[in-house]
Amino acid sequence: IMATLTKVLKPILGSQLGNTAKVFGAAVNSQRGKPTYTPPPAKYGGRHTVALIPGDGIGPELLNHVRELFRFCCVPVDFEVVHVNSASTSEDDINNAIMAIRRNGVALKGNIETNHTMPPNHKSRNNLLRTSLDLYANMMHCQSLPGVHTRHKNIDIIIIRENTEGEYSSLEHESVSGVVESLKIITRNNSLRIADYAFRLARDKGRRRVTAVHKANIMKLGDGLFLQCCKEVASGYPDIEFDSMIVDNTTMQLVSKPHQFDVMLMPNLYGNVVSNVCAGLVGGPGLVPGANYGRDYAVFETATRNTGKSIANRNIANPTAMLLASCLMLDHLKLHDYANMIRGAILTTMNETRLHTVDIGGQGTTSEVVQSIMRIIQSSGPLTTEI
Amino acid sequence: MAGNAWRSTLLKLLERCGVRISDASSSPEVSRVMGAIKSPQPRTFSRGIQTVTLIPGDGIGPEISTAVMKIFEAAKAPIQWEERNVTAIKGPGGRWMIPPEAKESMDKNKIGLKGPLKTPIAAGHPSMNLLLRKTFDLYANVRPCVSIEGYKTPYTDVDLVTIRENTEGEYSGIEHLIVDGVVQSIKLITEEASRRIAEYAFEYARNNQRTSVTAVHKANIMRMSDGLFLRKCREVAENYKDVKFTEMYLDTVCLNMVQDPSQFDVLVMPNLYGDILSDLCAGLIGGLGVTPSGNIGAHGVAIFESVHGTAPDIAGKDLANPTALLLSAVMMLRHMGLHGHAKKIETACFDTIREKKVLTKDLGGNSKCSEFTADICRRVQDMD
Repeated sequence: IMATLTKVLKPILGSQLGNTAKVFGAAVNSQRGKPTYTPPPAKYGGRHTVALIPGDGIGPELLNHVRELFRFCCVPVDFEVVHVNSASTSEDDINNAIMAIRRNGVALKGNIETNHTMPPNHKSRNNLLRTSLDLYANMMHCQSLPGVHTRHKNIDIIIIRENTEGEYSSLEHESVSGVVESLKIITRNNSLRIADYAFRLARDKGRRRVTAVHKANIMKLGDGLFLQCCKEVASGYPDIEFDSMIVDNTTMQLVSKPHQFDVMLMPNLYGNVVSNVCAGLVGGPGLVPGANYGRDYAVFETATRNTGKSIANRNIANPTAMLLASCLMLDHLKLHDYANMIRGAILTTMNETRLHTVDIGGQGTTSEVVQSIMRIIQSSGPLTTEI
Repeated sequence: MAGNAWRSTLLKLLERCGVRISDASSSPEVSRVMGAIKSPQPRTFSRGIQTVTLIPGDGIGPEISTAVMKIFEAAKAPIQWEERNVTAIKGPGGRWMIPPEAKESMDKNKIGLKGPLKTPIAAGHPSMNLLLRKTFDLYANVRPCVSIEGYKTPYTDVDLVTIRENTEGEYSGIEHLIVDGVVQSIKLITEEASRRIAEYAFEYARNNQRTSVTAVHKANIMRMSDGLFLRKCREVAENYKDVKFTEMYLDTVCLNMVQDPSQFDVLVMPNLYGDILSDLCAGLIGGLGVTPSGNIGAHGVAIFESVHGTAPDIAGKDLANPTALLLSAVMMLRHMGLHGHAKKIETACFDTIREKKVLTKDLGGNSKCSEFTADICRRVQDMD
């Protein structure tokens, strides 16, 4: 395909072909059947470009810290900053952001606030981003950190949540005044896709069991279809155990016996609930990074997608989640050395130095934590800029 | 204070003579655990004995119902039980319904206590709980969750109430297969039902000295449906200025609930969120075996139930834990205004659990149900 494309495009683009055909070819050829994602090729001398969407609340300040840290560690990543104004009603801002992500293939974002008193045609910006780019899988890895005090210890759960359909289709109508219907859509294709993603991930990471969370006893057709698709895919992975659990029982088990869960797979809304419960179990929204994967794009953010309006610009937000998300992004770009270096420094600050921010019971400020991370990176060796 | 003292002595004297006079001005004694639910029906000048429909249920249902009856007898509660069985029968017109005797009894008595009912998988009829809900229009499900001293969980400071809309929302059961591979499930929110549940929540908060009501929603995504629910809650909140009203996203509630449950008081929410959150809260205090629950319906009907399963594996072996049904029965007593008896039985139950000497297997001991019951009976009798 690459050869034919080059032949077709050569007369049109002439000598400026260069990378274009390869990039175009790669995007078109895409990942059909390929088990791993190939990151977009680095442009301009080995440096990747990543779209950065600051968002609202604590997003801008945390992403500034990420940029600072990357500059300090000389990470070969440049950020293309796209601002999205959550107060404006026009969709131009978010469309620009989506185009930037299409251009770069990877993004790091803060949460964009949704004012829910606006009329229903003003859709949630974050949701719009996810559905336009078809980021169908949300992956969140909850791990208890030894340095953080929580009620339950040694939790290690991967949560995979369908990210585009389900209850979040935003299809609502008022049939009669005072009677509102909201549609929850479940399709076979998307359910198969997310189940396949979950099982592949489980296999890649050496996990032993996948639990599907549903409410098929009440929503027999909807969640019934989801469960059926999961079972179909499970039969193709005999080495991985598959079981299912009803969502209310799941939440009850999570707060009493969280160690029974390994990988959890669920539709959109239950994913929201379960991921927030798990984030709470391991220490709070400031500690867990999340990743949204699509076929062609990947967007990284904090797992619980909080705007954090009340703590914005006070230098008390916990930067861990956003920094770990940026490490996930570096892994995605195959810059594993940088990712491991930064991650190691973050975990050392958390577990050994025990410099904690207010949300996990400490007294440190955001900048102190970031400074500590930079100091650890500098002392551990590689050439860095001055602090 | 002298006037009050005289008034209460007079009332007690009259009570002993068998005449119960409702005193609208005195606030009912409430425990933070099982609140009083204001019932719209007028109190009757009865001889003091109230008839209650008892539905023992399946599995361990009969034995825990017997346990509750024994404890009530020991406490000399003025309750007369009318046992009825609820099995689905096909009525005229082909619609499934509950037996007419059960319906009649409930309509007459207005108060019911129900044990666990089993839901057969392929029996062709809807679940019994669903039938009961439809028959009596049980629109509010109330679940007070308070940490039980003596039954240790990682969460020790839980004290909240979840009030869940029980008729519509995501569980309306309206689903279609649009094309092969695409299923659509409809979540229905109506103005009437939202207003009704909001009013109930605020009434409950007021009657039980609760300081705040929090509406749980996801209006950033489901703008119209949860938006309507929220609007109705806000409107009703205007009439109850003494109770603080806040709104919180479902994910924020989940996050904070698991980290610090003490910040929540009364939570009101649509059906699905209510289902998940009420079970989450039950998990915080120790599970469904110790959680009471009440369903309030239109026309003054109220059915209190235990929400755990029928546990067929331990049925008939005298191993069951009657705590959930007992605490639901205490909730029922408070609903009827019998606060004295309610407090007695509740204290006895908690004392028994705190002592940890005769606990059933699920609470961590290895006594039998009958021993547990006998201990509570003994404590109740000692209190007199």
